[in-house]
Order: sequence, then C-alpha cells, then structure tokens
Amino acid sequence: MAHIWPIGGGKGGSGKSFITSSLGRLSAGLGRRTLVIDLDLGAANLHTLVGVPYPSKSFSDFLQKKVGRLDDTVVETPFENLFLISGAQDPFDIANLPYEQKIKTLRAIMKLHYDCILLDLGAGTSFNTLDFFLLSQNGIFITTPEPTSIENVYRLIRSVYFRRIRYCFSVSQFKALEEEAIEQFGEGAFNKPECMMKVIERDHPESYRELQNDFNAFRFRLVINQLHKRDNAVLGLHICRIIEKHMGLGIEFTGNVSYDDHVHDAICQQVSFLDRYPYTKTAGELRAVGRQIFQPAGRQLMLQYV
Amino acid sequence: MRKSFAELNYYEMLDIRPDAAAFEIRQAYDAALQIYQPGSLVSHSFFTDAERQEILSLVEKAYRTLIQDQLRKAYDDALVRRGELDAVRETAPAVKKPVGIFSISRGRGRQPAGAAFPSPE
Repeated sequence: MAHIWPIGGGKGGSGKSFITSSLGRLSAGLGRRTLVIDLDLGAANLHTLVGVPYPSKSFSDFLQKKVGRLDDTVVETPFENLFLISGAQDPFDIANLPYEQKIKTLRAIMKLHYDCILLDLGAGTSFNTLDFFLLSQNGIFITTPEPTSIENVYRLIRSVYFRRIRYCFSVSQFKALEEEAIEQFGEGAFNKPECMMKVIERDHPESYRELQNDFNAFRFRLVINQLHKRDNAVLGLHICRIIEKHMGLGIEFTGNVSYDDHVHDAICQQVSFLDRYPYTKTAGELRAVGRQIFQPAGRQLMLQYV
Repeated sequence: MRKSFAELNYYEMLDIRPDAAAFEIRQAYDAALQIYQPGSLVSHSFFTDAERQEILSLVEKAYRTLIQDQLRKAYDDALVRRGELDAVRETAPAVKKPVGIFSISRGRGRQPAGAAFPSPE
C-alpha cells in the first residue's frame, strides 16, 4: 500500500504546491515511484511546478468518466519515477466537488499502486480539503512565519480535529455536542475541539476512546516555509508545543525552509528549484525535510472513512 | 484524560524536569513568555485575551514558586504527597572537606594507600 502524505496549510501562498513538488522530486530521486496529485480544486498549478505545462489528461477526466480509473489520468513528468495527476483544465465548478465524487476519488486514491503519493491540497477548510487531509495519518501542515498564515494553520488544525470528531456522530448528535460544550465551557468553546472532547468523554466514552486512539495515531508534521533571517528559527517548535499542550494533539516540527528569491526565479523559468539551485540553503533544508518525512514510515494506517 | 493547562504542575507548565537548575527555570520562563505574551507570533489568534492573561498568571506563579528554594521545596513536597513526584531524588555529592583532600602523609616510610610518588625526605 502506498504511503500517502496530504499537504495542507490553510492559507494560500504558503508554498504548499512548491513543497509538494519538491518533496515529490526528492522522493522520486530516492528511486521510489512517486505520484503527486493536484487536489487544489479550482486552483491547480502543480503541473507547472513538475515540468508538465500542458498535461494531456487530468483529474476531471476521471470525474467525468472519460476514463474508467484514476490510474488512467496519470501522466509522466520529465523526472524519472515522478508522476502527476493534474488538475489543469478542470471545469470551473470543480471546487464544488459533490459528496459522491469526493468519496469516489478517496476510494480511487487508496487503490493506486505507488510507493509514495503526495496530495497537494487547496487552501481553506472546506469539507473536501479536510476529508482529503484525513485520508492518511501523515498530514503535513505548511505555514509561513506571518500572523495571517499562522492563524489559518491553527484554524485548519482545529477543523481537521472537528472533522474527525464529526465522523463519529450524526448531524444532530454533533450539534448537541456543540451546544453542550458551549453551555459547559462558554461561548468560545465552539472553536475548541478539546472542549468538545471533554463532553464526549463524559457522554460517549466509547466514541471518546476511538477518537483518542485515532488522535494518538496521527503523525502530523509542521513545516515553516519562507523563513527570513530575521524570523524566529524556533517558531515551529513553539507552535507544536502550543498545539500539544492546549489541544492535546501531537504534531512534529519537521523543519524550516528559508525564503529564497531563487524560488521565484525557478518558478518563473518553470524549472525545478532543486535542480537549478541545488547548493542553496533552501535546497539543503528541503532535502533535510525530505529525509525527515521519507524515513522508513513503517506501517501506515489508512483512515477508513469511506 | 489529558490535563488542561491549569491542571498541569509547574514543571509541566514550563516544560522542565523536576530537578531543573535555577538557570533552566529562568530559561523556561523566558521561553514561555515568548510564547504566551500579547503580540506573540507563536500564539497569534490561539487564545482570547482572557485566556492569555490566565495562562500568563499561571506561568508567573510557576516561575515565582520554583525559583525560590523554600517555596520550591514546599511545592515539591506537595507534589510528592499527591503522587506526582518521586520522593527519592538524587542529591548532590557531598562536599569534600579540605582535611580530606589534603590528607597526605609526609612521614618517612609511611605512604597513603595508592600513593604514586615517594614521600619527600
């Protein structure tokens, strides 16, 4: 079974696609058959970053049943072992993916036969983004050292948490839990999954145990992208500490990726940054992040929501 | 069940070991202030103002308790009674007294056990 790494970040422009394409390049360079899937529905650009400006096939071909299997939409890239499912030329309403098509997509991804699959997710906290993120326990959060981005990544983490809780309950049960949490912990509790977990522990102990087991099994990671010299190098560590202490969710700080003007140059030239500027600090940091992520991951549990 | 921040003991709040030295306590306090103080980038949007003030007052209380030996000892004893801390803690090695250090026999023919050099004439 493939190891799947969903990559999300909450805020647009944080570098999710750049990190995804770079990690894909690094994984492929290790000899692993690597597939990058552009699930930034309606804002796909991963194809540009992996050297396939005009893909002959795309994800929408699968949704529109022009092909029978998701595998049939895979295109090769100029890089050995690196493959792409593109979101280019998707229809304009692709961002509003209906529930049935999302489930169809999730099931199809789980059947793909690659050593490594990276999902480039869109910004924001739509249910589609959250469900793609929860496809695996190995989600990667990308943020930049700016208050706007950090706020959005906190919101994404909370949303992921809530979405997982939501899977255990019906709409009416979940609503009742929200109201109970607000009644017990105040108005701010609607935004705090840890408050809802306390209510669940009291009222639904079996579901609480199931959720705790899942949360303990998550291997989420955080990458700080576009770190300037003047930024705090331990920002990522502190963010992980806050999440662990106040939300009870384990998240590992994987590393910093420094800001580099050459990234912009490489994107404009539509070449691989790692290939064009391999000796820059940023390239070294990307390789270090890749090593952290692609260390033997052991058995990967897939979340069976579908 | 996971403890809330207010339920953590002072060592857990500051992320230090129970045998942390004074400088480690100060460093941990500084690190906590960096995280929780108003305007901190790390905790931007994470807490309401009221929550932030409550956390800062807990951090302050933790620091003031642990940085003073007597208060710290009383606090440690309370933790031991609650079972949150082991009663047995490593003590620093006993300070050697000068007599013990400089106890070198200078008498003719009498050498302390293990002496490498002959006693001076």
